[in-house]
Amino acid sequence: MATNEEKLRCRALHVVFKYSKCENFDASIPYLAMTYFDRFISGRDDISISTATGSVLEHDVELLALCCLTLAWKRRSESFNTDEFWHNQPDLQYFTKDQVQKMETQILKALGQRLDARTALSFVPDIATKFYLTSGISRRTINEIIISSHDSTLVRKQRPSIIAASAFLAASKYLYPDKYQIFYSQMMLDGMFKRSHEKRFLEYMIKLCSDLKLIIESNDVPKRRVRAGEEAEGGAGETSEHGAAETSEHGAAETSEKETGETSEQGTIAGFNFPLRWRICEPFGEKFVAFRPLSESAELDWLAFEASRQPDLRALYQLKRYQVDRVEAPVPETRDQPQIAHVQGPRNGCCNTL
Amino acid sequence: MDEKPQRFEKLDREGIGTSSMSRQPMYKYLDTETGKRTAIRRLLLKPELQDSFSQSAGLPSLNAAQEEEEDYYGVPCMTIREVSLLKVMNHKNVARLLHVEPDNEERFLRLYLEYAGVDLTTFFKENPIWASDPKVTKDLLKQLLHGVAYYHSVDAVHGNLRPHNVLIDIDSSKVNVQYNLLITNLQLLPDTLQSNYKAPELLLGSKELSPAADMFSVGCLFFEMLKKKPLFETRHDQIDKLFRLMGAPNEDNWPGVTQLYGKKLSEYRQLKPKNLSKTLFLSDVEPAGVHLLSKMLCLNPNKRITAADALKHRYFADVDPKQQPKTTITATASSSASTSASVNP
Repeated sequence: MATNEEKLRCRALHVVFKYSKCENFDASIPYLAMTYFDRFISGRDDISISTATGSVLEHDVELLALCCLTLAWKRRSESFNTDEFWHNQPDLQYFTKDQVQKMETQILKALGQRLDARTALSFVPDIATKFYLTSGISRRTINEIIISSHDSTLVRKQRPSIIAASAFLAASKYLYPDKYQIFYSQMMLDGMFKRSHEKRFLEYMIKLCSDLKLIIESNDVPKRRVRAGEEAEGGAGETSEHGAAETSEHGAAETSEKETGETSEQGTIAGFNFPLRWRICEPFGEKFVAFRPLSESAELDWLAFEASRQPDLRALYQLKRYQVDRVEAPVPETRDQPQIAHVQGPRNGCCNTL
Repeated sequence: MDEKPQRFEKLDREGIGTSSMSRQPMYKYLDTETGKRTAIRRLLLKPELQDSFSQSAGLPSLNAAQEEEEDYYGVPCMTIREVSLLKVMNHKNVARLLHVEPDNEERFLRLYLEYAGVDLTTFFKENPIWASDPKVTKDLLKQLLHGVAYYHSVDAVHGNLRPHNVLIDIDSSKVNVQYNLLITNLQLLPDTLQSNYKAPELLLGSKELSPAADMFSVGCLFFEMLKKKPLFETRHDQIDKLFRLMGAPNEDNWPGVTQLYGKKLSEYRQLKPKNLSKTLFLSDVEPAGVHLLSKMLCLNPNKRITAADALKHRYFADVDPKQQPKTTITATASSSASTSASVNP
């Protein structure tokens, strides 16, 4: 049975996933937003957002997620334009400036004004030093693994250092399989991965790389790259400078820089210029509609539909309450069109039904 | 009904200056929980008050474009960045953020910043003998540079270095009198409405605060430590005076300057740099000190000495690095954090 926190978090992930999309996308922004969200809801049975909007309002959790996102943007990007963000998306007109102001202030207060608290990403440089036996693992790869794992509620139970260490170990499992055990032992000596939930999280991270078929790349020049989770084709497993198809004994096919065509780690978002891969959100993406007044049944249908598309979500919703045929029903075209909620006025308690 | 005891008690009636935001006197407070003295800096929570604040403060902003926005949503970027930065800063020469609270109407955030001793100008007036000791000057400059270097090491800039934001605490209880310097960032109204410590690129129209601009301010403060008077007495004709002293910028001493500020530069004659020692009457200062000063006042920001390099300058060669500085400087800085490093999401 999913906790209220988990239900709220799932909703926030959808909102952040959808509204963080922009030109020159920086994957660290949605990640940072979710760390603010997690810190905000940590230990709360429910989100008392009534003070933010003046009255109990539906979509409070969405407003909370959006404000976490704008705070992350303001902290991280000098080019972020709040006016443009709120005005360019019709469905965001649901909220007033005053509500946004109050919510951002409330978040800052709840976080103790600390927007620079340490996260898993800030532990990356410390842990990178332990991989001196190799030419290292690209910072971009580690960032992508850490950020991709953030849609799982498992990350909320782990220390940031464990998340960072797990990302390194998971990457080394594919890139340096023969040295994986040495690295793992080193981490153990440092007091990491001694608890069972930490070991389970490491296994989750290794599988995540495989499920998402992430490209794991080294730091050397030219970069050596392997794609996690892809079965290797026949032939020897040596890396070619020109990037011909290679094989690996560990279920990872090596690729070349030319094949993947990825950009170099240049510019202001160096290391974060990759697409966001939150599996919970991918089936909906930008079609996810957050802001409109829904009747209770329609909303439940919508949630059930979400759950039907994502097995991981089944635990979050009480599917037994819904008919199977309704769960499987296709999404009507109108769902893709955001409606302006304030036309019909807000309805209380919407977010509690999540 | 019991009234909640106040954590901060006002310490004196005279105050430490006038607030550039409210034009009201500013006071020191005693933090009854920590026993430390503090002073309050206020930051805006409501963006619609930004314009009046910026004008009255006379301070450059990190993102001037956002100040001009008529329709700004949420808490201003400058507030978010500054508080986040101060929350994580931890250096003996930088005033610590002891407490943060909003006002009753949530229009401002009150930052309770560590406050110690007196500001640099008051220190000179009250302690003329100590202040004229070259060793004390060297100690103070070194502490100032340590504080500024710390700002720059976390990808932040102070942006408002001037005597009001440099605090010196004298500890005479020991055999060797110790001076402790702190950099702080209080919005105190200066004697003149505009700062006389601005770098040439800012005077020529750049809006970008940078570590190099901070170092120019440090150069101005260094001169003030040496001569007990400001390098530029008034803001009027400051840029003209600077060019008369350091020479006018051209493509030789500052490649690219014509493209950046050509229109503004055309108002000034081409002048050659003068001998700093003679022009500024620094004959009593050791040559290494004059050399360091010239590096700090360098017109080209790309060639201006950094805080870290200044600390390695031969001017400090006779200071034992292991020896604890006798002088402790506390500076109150109006910092503006850059976006990347200290965030480290």
